[in-house]
Amino acid sequence: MSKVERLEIDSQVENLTKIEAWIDSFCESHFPAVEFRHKMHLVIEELFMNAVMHGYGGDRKDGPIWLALHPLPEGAALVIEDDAPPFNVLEDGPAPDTQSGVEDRPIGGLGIMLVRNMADHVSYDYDKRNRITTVFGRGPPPGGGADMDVEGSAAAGLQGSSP
Amino acid sequence: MDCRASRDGHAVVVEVEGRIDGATAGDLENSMMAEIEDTDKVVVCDLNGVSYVSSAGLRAILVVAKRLSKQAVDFSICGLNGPVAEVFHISGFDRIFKVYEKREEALAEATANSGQA
Repeated sequence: MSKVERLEIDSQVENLTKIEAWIDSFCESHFPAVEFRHKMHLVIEELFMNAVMHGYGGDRKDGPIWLALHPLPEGAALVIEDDAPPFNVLEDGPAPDTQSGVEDRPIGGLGIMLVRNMADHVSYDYDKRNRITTVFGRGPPPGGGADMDVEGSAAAGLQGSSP
Repeated sequence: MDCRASRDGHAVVVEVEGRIDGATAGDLENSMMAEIEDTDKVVVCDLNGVSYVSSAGLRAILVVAKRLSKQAVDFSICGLNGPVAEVFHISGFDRIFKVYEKREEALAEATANSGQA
């Protein structure tokens, strides 16, 4: 199986293209990730933009962001870390509104909802850095068993994985 | 990302191609607003050439739609495919906008509604 790929990058929106190329390169070397390529692009963008615009406030261009792609037997795990003040965007971000009409619809709050929909597992923790772990790919969860297996193996593979 | 407009009477079709992401969404918003004139009563946004849209792209489209709504412009979207359609569906954007499969349907419906020939 391919190895863990890491990328350290500054908090600049322009770096999105580098991240996209990095994801594509990983998918080419780790075939089980290919079917999740689009979802991984979307999730990494949403989380990266969140770190740039909210974590680092949108005006800091040199905020470090650490990315890691972990190959899994049936997919991949994507970990993003930043050095911004602790903030659990999964719990404390704005609630998405998917019901209001055009005039009343608030602009924002959709990114994290897309992340939750696109990834099979999403979690946040803080240990000197904000860290969001996402997992792509799992078998059908018969009674939740397969779900537990994939998440468990991903978490095990990610122990001590800070770049 | 590329954005260009074609005009037919009071209707304008804005055709977008490429990726609408955090790096290009601002350009899309500015381009669309620049392409739409005061006399336009119908705007159809054709996303058939778009392969990727993120929440930044949705936000840009929503900003444009809000502005057009205030101007009583009939706004619709057509040509959503694969992953883009999925993002529209998850976010509920396929319910707040009039969404058509083909550009011709969008134009015919909008023109009928607006009473413009």
